[in-house]
Amino acid sequence: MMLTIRNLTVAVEGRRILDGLDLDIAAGEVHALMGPNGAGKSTLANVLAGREGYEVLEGKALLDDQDLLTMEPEARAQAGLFLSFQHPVEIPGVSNLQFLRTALDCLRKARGEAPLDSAALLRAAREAAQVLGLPADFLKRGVNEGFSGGEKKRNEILQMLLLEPRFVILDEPDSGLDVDALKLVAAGVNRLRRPDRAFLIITHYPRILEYVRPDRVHVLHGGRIARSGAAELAHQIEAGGYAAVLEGSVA
Amino acid sequence: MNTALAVCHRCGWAEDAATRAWHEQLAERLASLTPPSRKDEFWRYSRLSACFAPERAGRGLDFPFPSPEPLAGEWIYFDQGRPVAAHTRAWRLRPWSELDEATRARWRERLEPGEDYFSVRNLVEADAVLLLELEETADAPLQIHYRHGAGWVQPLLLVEVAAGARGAIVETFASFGPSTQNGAVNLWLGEGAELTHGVFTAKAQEALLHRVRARLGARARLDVQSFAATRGYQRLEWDVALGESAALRLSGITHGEPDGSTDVALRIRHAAPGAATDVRWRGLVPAEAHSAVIGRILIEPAGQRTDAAMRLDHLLLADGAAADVKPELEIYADDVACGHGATLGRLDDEALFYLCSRGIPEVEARQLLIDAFLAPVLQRFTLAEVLRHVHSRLPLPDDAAA
Repeated sequence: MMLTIRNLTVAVEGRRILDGLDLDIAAGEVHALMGPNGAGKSTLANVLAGREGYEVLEGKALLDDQDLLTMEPEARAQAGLFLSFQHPVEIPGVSNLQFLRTALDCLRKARGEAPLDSAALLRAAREAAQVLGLPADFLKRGVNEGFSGGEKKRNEILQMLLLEPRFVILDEPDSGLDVDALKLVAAGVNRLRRPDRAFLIITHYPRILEYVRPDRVHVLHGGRIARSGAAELAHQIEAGGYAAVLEGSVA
Repeated sequence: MNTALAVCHRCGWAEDAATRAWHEQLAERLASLTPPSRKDEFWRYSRLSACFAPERAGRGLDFPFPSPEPLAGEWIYFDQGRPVAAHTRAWRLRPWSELDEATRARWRERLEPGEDYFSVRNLVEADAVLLLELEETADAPLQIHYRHGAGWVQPLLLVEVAAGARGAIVETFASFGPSTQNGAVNLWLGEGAELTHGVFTAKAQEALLHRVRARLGARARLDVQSFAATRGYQRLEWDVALGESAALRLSGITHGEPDGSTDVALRIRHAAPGAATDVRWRGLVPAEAHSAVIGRILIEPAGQRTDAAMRLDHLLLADGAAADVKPELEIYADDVACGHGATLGRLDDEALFYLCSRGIPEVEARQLLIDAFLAPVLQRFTLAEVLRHVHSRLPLPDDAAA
């Protein structure tokens, strides 16, 4: 199993958000995590990525055999974890190219690989930017500085393409995107699908799942996975809402 | 051309009668003055006691500095406040003793210090007085390197850039022992003259007071590029008056060091129409360091169509870091475009997490954010001689490939 989560219980400011969550994701799989507002979807993403402000009360989360919860955020990334942020932060003054170069150098160093030479990085970044429809001056601009919501989401995907993580969490990659941008984002994800890589897509809406077909769909409710199923579960949610699919669930 | 500058010990002023009388009046004025206190608005955040510490007291003695090493390009060395060696083709260098009476009279008038204790003291006790004149355009900057090592050291520099001339000076400072340098530079820019002025203080770890007084003629331009750092005490002052349609761009960085205190005071006066001021100063303050920046732009009634902006920002890097920042605009003209602002903040936790989540260790992520904070000022540094010094202090972003 690539990602193994057992009995994960997390509180924020004393309130339990995740309560005994179990989840397994095998290499090569794409899982979708759905659920109503406030269910704790983003909490799970943030806890796995190592953001401060979350109190892990119980449980464990393993990426391969590594205990994510004891690792610093950068070590988690170096272990292969990538979080595509729901609200990517703007960092004026740090250019996208500088950021990408630094991140890639750090990840390659952690993997025991030599730094990518500047020309190769530039080529790869320009190509990815073109594929994702990002403006030509994108690499010189500050990270996410002055980007529209859609551009920020596409920048997350660009980073994912260049950094080549092994396990990707996409936290609402579809929010704020028009259909054309959504297709670009989905194409970026599909481009990276490989037998040794896995994805967890967090979303409210099944729309993106029409373009990135998941192997499993989970519904988060009451702080744990209340229902799991095949891709069709997403359509049931769209047709009947969460209440209908959660009826009779254990949560 | 290597020019050995012989200036007699402790007699910067020649003994002509008019200068002697002027000097005696200043000495009387000094006797009636006391050093500023924190009650004075422009000294409110200063830590002046370092300047008067017993080990730095007394007038400077000769100090065994290493022999001046020739620098690339054009240069002057000041040891203990006195010029000791120089190499320049573009600039004319004259000690006070070589000036004609008309020039002396002009400068006596220009040097009127008011009641400012340190200015008066510098004039009364100046180790040497040197006039630098630029008649045409100089391609290479003139590097002025001050070394101080013992007691009070008080160089006085007069700089005149003729109408239409264009040049650059870069002042650097290094301390070798317990000492206080109380120095002054007076810049006079003729009509349409342009001067780029670099000030790099990071090698002066003892007490340093440095005042720049600049008078800009019509359409003259002054571009200041300053980088200040110390584990001791530094006070940097700019007092600038702009003529009609003159322009001042003042860019500075305080790079705080533990136990150090850097204190910047800016007084900018628009007394003629159509002038522009653009001030941007950023400070980095680590634990146990202090940085203060007080800036005041005064727009007099005649300063119509002034365009003035002042941004003073500080980043506090740790608990125990302290900064005092105060931008002020005082406007007596009605047709102006003015803005000012100040921020005090810490590194953005969200940005730090974002960078770390991409595999960048926290130390490197912090440095990236620090570089980003400084970038808007660093981008305005054009003098290679300043950038070379700054590069020795900072990792800088390199986006040349983009």
